[in-house]
Amino acid sequence: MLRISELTKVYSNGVKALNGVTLDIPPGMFGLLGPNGAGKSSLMRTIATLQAPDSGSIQFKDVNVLSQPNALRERLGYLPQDFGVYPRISAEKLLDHLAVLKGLNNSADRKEAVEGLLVHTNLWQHRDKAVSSYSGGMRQRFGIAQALLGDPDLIIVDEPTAGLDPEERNRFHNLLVSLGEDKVIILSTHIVDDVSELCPRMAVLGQGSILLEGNPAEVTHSLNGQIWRKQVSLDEYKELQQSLDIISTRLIGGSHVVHVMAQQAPEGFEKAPANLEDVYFSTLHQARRTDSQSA
Amino acid sequence: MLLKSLGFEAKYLIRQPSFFVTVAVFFLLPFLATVSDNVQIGGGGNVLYNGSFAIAQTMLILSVFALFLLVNFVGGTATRNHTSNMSELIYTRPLNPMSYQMGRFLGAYVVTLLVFAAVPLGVLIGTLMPWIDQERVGPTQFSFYLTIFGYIIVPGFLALGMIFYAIALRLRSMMGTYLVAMGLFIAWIVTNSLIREPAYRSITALFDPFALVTFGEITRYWTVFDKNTVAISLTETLLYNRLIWLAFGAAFIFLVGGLHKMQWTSQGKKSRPSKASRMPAPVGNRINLGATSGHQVQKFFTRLGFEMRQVLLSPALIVLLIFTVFNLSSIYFVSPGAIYGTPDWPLTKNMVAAITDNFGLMLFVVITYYSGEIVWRERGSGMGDIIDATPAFNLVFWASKIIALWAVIASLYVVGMLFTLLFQIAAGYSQFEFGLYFVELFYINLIPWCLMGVLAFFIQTLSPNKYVGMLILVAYFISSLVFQELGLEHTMWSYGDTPPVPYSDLNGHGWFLTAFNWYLIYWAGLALVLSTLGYALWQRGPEAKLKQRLKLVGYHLGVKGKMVLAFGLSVFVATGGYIHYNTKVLNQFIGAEQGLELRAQYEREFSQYEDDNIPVITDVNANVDIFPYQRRIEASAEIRIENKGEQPIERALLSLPDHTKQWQVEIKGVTVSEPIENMRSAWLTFEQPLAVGESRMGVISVTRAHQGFKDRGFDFEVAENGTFINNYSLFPSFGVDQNRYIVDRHERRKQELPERPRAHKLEDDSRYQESFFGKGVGFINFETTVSTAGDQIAIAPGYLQKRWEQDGRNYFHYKMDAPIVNFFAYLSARHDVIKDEHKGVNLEIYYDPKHAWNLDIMMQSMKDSLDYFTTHFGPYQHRQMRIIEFPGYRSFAQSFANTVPYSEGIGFTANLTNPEDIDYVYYVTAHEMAHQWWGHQVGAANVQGSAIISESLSQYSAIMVLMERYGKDKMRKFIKYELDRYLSARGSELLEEMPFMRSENQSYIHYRKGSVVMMALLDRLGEQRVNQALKSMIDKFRFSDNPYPTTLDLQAAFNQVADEQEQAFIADLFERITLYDIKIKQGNVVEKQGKFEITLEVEAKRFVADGDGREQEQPLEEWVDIVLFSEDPDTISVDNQVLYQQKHKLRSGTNSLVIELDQRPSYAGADPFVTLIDRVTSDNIIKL
Repeated sequence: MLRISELTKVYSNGVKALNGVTLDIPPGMFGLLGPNGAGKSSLMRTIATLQAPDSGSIQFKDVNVLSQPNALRERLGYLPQDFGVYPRISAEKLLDHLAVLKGLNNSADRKEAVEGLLVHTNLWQHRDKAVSSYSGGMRQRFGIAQALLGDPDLIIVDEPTAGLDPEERNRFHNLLVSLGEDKVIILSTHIVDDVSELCPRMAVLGQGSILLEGNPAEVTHSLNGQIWRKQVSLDEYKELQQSLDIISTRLIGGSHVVHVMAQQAPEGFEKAPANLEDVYFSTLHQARRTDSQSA
Repeated sequence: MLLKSLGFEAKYLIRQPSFFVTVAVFFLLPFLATVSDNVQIGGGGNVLYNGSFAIAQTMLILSVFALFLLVNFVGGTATRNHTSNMSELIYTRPLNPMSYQMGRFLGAYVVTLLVFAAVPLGVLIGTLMPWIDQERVGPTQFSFYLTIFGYIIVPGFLALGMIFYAIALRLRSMMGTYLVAMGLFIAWIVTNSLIREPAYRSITALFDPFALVTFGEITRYWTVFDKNTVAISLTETLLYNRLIWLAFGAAFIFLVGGLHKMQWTSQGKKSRPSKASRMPAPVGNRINLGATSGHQVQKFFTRLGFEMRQVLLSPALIVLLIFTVFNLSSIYFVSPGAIYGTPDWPLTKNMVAAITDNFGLMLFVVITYYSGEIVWRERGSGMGDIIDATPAFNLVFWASKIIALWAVIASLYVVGMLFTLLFQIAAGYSQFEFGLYFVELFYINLIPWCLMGVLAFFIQTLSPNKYVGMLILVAYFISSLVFQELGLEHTMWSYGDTPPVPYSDLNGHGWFLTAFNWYLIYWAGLALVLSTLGYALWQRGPEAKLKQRLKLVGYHLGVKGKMVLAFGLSVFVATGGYIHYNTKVLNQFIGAEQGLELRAQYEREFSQYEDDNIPVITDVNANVDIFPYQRRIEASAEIRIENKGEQPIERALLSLPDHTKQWQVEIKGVTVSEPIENMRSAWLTFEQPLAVGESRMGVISVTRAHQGFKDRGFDFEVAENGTFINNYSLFPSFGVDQNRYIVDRHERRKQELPERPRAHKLEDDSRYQESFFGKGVGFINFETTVSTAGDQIAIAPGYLQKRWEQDGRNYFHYKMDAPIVNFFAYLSARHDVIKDEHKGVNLEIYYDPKHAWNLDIMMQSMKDSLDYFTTHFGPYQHRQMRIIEFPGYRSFAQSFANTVPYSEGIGFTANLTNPEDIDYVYYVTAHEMAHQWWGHQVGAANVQGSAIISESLSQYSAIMVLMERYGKDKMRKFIKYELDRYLSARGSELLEEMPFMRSENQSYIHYRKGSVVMMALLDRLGEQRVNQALKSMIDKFRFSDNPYPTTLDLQAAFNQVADEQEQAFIADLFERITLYDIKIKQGNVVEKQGKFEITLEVEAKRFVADGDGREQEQPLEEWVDIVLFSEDPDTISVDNQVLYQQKHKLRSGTNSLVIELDQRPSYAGADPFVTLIDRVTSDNIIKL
């Protein structure tokens, strides 16, 4: 449905934001994982017609996104990573305003959709307050509501769960799942759980390139039997850092639990079940290593 | 701590873009003002670019605008921790709040000073530029820069900075702080309008925060010499002013600012449960209702409503509107069109002029600010990504936003109009002209500004961010001021500009709207092009680079867009061609620079013929047909010419009038050459030389006509309603036209012309046969037949012999029964007329029916003048006097034989209902009447001082008539005006101030000083002796043209009636620039046996100044009025009694006087009625 090929973008300060990104995204939810600065937002903005790449193409169904931006915008729902709002306008009014811009021209339809989305994002009680006075989480929910206006075919949400409390995050996940399977929903995040919970397809983006693409369960399965863990003290941790390729460390009850990827168990390590986080970290780790080797 | 936070703050601010932007602006403005004549800050005149006065004026005027600089930096510093959400981080640190805050304040203050230092730097570097006129640059004196910076700017910014730091800390809002600054600015402007009244000057000088008024007071009567060489000192008023503001600032920052406290108090408002929160949530709403494509019109209207609410309901606009109203409220204090402080009726044209005068600069600022604000609203609010990703077309945004900007500009005009309507109602004026308001404000003024808004939008669209866009726009505005220097003078090159559309109550908009309309269509075409390109290039998304947007131009335009673009382009090109054809092909276009070059060329080519003998016209019989609605005059004059010189005439230069392509001169035995290209001249060759004393008949005929429209150089003399043209404008004339020479010394130098005296030397008796009207202008016998349109009356000098109608046109035959000066005029308009008769003289006033307010006063003035002048000077030479109103394109009254054309702007519309105001209508009428004696009976030789005889004596005559009617009390107000204007005008002298009798057509001498000098003579010699002397002038020189009188004759006439001491006094008035400083230092009253002994210490000095104003003290020995009053003489009331008035002889230095009196006086004055030229008249009076 959404075909991205050979997308390249270099910013004027020399940063290579996108480096030949090629992706084929089917209907359904697609998770885009990557650390800060990996180029996720650049990719999202490019798909959302807000920035032009240096080269490459994007095709959504019958629409050439780069040369017919208005055609895509009619089918697009977009939640930017970071956004502000006009001052002194209530949520309901602002949502109504955006609904008109999106093309909900019938006022009864518009009212129903706006009110429905306010309820779904749990903003109903706050609908006549200025969005500019909202707390971070509330504003994020407003952002979600506006992205869903007008039943878009392509929904791009950039770090949607940032700032949401667990309850709201769950509510949002349910909302996304309920939207239907025929839409393309791209979810960019650095929270691995969002992807493992929601997405049948995913990709990992690092330094502007796609490092990994696939089904989360499949890619996790492929690591089975190669992940080892050990609980260590701070001093031991420092030693291990010298000798082993640590893919991730996590604190549990104040002590370090180290994950290592290897064919065989290093000394004192126990076998651990692979999860998506291991996949993500190992992918990044590998990318970094090849990078430093080639450098 | 203090230094650390100072350093941190300063470094932070210096890295901000606003620092560079403001430095650039504050450097460029004074720089351009120095290097280009088209940018001016403050007044011009003959002062050096880097003289003390010019530097100070530039710095002080810009310092007023730097108020907003100060608020930007100091206020920004005060609020930044809050706005950037840093306050919690900062205030939890263990800091000494006092030194932390003071340090930050001082940091911001130092940065502001640093920015402002760009101003003196701009002037300094400007004066070093090689291309500027070196004669106008003196040696660089750093003290001129440093004194102003050190004495006024440094303490002033500190004081205001403390105040605004405190306010910003308190309000925690930049907007609020700007509001307060705006309030101060407004209050300052309003007070400044108040202080034109001399009574308030000293008090405002003391309290002016910018010390601009203070500086104005210090330098009020500075001469050119002073302005170039005297640096100000920090004494007296200036010192007190600075101390007052520093004390005020310090008090403010400690009391209001609360520096010792650190934390912000919580700002959050308690939220009350709203109605919405109680409504139950709807259940089961569908959220997947699909959007449909299209509906761009609906999107547009939604956006439009939104943008309109954003701009029209914003606090910024409310501030702006309040500012506008305050700005306009100055018309309450200084009435538009006021003369001598006497207001005009609030005619709609005056109201409109007040609005447009007030709006000029403000609209630049409004457009710059709002275009940035509106175009970048989405980016600025952070909502850009969401809005830009919606399927609304670019055009939706462009159109809704530009209309919002237009609405802002229009709202200013609406408020301006409502305010002036209220003003008209309050003044009891009810002839509302809504049509005129509409056309002037919403068509002629609003639309060009709207087009300017389109350009601003276009620039903002291409610009990478708001501030760069604003900067480009400011740079554009500034550079458009210097376009002229690049040869891009034609209005076609200056976006949004149109030729002016002057308005006259008589003639309405005349033909000027035609040109305006075409230019408007021309620019609208370009604006349409800019609009289509602008929306096609509209930036969507934060990273949409221009290069990439260019690729999608075709996509966004679509077929319709491309058609509109092509349409706009073809309108622009087609009307451009039409304008070019009209202004440069049908009419000649001469730019300012080219005009000067032509004038220089004219002088170089023809000045050698200045003294050639030329024929003198002695008889004129002219047929003049005026076609006002076709703007055409066909005229032919039978003339008799005579050789009054001493050589036969073989060749003579003919100067041709403007706007006259068809002309003919037929004189027997004379051939006429083709016009000399670009010189508006031709040669007459007398194949049969005109022998000395010989006279010959001839015919001159012209057709003055207009084709198409012009860009500049309009013909104001032929109008649909209100034609007024004199013979030199209408007909070719003999000899070199010296009025075409360049006068300005600097311009002459640029054209490499030699220095040239403005007038012939007073002693040059070879010029005594030459009239001050010019060479070859003598007395003529005059007769004329003039015709005009069927609904108009045509007037020319002479008595009406016959009036008839023919082919729907009115014909008038006028004939003069006695010779008149060869200076006559034709007038034609749809006039009403009132007639009266006084002692055998017919009096008539031809006026516009709308302007019937002051006819009685004019009539009375004519009668009183006739009485006074015939009694004291001699008989009136005509049997008739006529006043004729003409359009206010030109603002003067002028005396022709038995005919006075009188501009609508200087009396017909004056509001004389307040008896306290000077009745200048009466006065001007008397002045013009007096010219029938001074000018028409007694001419003047073409040497220095010629205008003294015509103008100063007319001033005197008019003052005497005015004094008879209104009494001496009212004259004091008038004379004080004249003295003040004379003293102030000395500083703007272009070449050299001449002594009274040698005035070289310097109006501030022959009018202003003339009044004062004549009043001094009146005081010293008395009315009887002055008039006796003047009568002797009349008796001797009445209708004499060989010789004409000079000021030497005038002085001799006065000397005739004066004793030796008085003659010395007259010599002082006539021959030297004399200034006095009379001051009562002390006054005591002692009671002695029922009598009062008053001792006065009077200090007296006398100075003689040279032409630059360099003064030297001279010994003084003068009879001066010493007056004792029972009440304060400044409150003019009936009870105020003069208990004692006697002339005492004062000598240089301190004079002790003892006077005995029966009554106790309370005030003493030395020359209290201001008969001597004294710069400080306030210390002439003392309370005892």
